[in-house]
Amino acid sequence: MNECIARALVFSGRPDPTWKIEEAIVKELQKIWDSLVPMQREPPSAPPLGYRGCLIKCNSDIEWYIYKNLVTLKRSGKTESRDDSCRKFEKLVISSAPKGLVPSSLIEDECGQID
Amino acid sequence: MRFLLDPQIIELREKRLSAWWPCRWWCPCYWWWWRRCKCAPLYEPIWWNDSGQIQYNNNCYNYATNYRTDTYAQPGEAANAKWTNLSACDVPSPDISAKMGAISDCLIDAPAADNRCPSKGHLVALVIRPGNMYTWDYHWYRKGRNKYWSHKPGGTPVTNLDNSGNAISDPRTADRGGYTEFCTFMKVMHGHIKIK
Repeated sequence: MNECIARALVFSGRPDPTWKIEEAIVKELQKIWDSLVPMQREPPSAPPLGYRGCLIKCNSDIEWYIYKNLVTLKRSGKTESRDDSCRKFEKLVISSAPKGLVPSSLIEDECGQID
Repeated sequence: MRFLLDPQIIELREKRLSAWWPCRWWCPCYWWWWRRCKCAPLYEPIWWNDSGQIQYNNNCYNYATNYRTDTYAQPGEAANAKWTNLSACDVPSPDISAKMGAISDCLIDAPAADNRCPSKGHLVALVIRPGNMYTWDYHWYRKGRNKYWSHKPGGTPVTNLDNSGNAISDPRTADRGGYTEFCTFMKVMHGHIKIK
């Protein structure tokens, strides 16, 4: 079974919120990924402090990093970045967290309304 | 002119200076100036930024104290006095602030350090992001041998830049995003502290 754990990079000292992503959501994320186009503009860079994106690690050697419209996939040592201009990927990841786990005010502070 | 203040340029300049000015040791001013941060850790981002075990399991507290535990160390945890309240730099008893936790770990509070390196050990700085129990957080910076500060925001890579992309000469004036409250400078005596 492909188990994936998401981590919202919002804290510095405290442990970041982490949660398990259901398989159905992982499939949905994979579909979104397949629909994205390669990143051709300057990717957004996260500030050192504050919301710095989300990280998803799956036991199938797949790792995603998402920040705003940037979605990066690492698989078998290869890295590929795609452009998610509508931020569908990021929204789905954050909405998959148990209610109240990810402080939405912190994310909104940095990126504007996410929902 | 701003590139002259880049920490890497400063380090390079120091190296070049030492190559063709060996008698600098006789200059008391230079000796005093050089000595000031001689015990501070080197800026070695590559060692921490491995995109794996070290990077993800060590936070700002690990990096600032230069102490890798792979446990995401928390102030006070090693002394059974882990922080309980991060709403302010100082909190009323029986709550424990990040500063009190760090003191329990044997860091030395040095509010009067005023951004100067100690003669022994190295200097760190504590800031907090006030808020409620869901959003509050703390963050640490450490002063390096080149007199500039660097930090490791959680599981993300070590950097020597602030939120505006500037080198950090003083954490009190750096762009710290939501970490608006500067708490204190503290001293880390190498080998004396215990963190977990």
